[in-house]
Amino acid sequence: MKKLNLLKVITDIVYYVNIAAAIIAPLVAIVVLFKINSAGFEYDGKQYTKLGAGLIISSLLKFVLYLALVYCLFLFRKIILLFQKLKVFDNVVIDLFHRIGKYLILIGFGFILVSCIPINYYYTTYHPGGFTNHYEFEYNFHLSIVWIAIGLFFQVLSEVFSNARRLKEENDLTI
Amino acid sequence: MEKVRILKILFNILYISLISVGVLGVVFFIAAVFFNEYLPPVLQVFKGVFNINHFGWFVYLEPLSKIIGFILFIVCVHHLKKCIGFFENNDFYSPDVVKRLRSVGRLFVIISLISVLLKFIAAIYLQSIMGNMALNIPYSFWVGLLGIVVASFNLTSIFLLITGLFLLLFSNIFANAGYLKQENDLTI
Repeated sequence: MKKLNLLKVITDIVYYVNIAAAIIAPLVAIVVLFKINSAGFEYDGKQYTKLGAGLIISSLLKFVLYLALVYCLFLFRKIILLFQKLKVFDNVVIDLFHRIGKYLILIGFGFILVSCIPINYYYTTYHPGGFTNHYEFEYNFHLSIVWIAIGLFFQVLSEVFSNARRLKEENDLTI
Repeated sequence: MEKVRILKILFNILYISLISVGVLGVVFFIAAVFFNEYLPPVLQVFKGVFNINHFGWFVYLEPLSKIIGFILFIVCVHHLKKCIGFFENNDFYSPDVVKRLRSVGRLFVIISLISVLLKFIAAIYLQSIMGNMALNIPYSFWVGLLGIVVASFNLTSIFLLITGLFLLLFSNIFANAGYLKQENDLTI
């Protein structure tokens, strides 16, 4: 029970921090976009002047996937709450495990697809002789299997739990 | 069963990739420190990174925490791979699975705690160096403390801590389910 309570506290902290980040991130993005469109946004010695469609689309999709991850965390908190009520082999727990697994697999594939989108942006660098305009076109494909593996692990857990539930039911019915 | 098979393949890929990266890292470290002159000029500069006299050993605490974490993570993946082998044979509640899940849970918690602790010490040291360098900048204690805390905790260590506690919890649930199965099998 001590471990469960500790897990609940840590999960709650991570969940609320992520909720706050999910609210703050779009606001920061709007401010940065506004600055880029007006006078340009300066960062690390570079004056960003225009963002390409690829960068905007991939950032938006990444944000949607991030929200989906926060939703999985929300479902995970529900499971912990059910565990605290000693409803371990409950139908709801099995369903939640299955759902989290399904969503994580989709998120994993989503991240792989988003990494296929090339990102492009324009920036200016200043030097004593004047300034130079640059155009960057990056292709950051990466095959990240971690979320897919975790999703499959959750799906297997849902099967293990449904098996254990059947055993418990049989056991409870035995006189 | 299909899912277990796919999961097994993914874990095998992960395990082999981790071992390969680890071996390559060790080979590169040996080559950079002992056979530096035989390396291409681009790679020869890395010897400076391994020279402890440049910064003092405190600076190496964070890379050290990463190396320890990496090795322990390979051990965890090995244990999980073995667990999936049991799952494949429909042996979900074997005492070996419970033992391995408990070990992985403990190791994940240890990795996250070691990582946070070593990063905390390294952040204090780095901030003391920066404090000495920035003599004219007014320095707030609370801002410094916040900087150290932010530098110590990262998402990976928190994620590992949650996973570790989750697996420790699961090892207990699996042990419970194993007991139920045993009772069930013994009932005529």
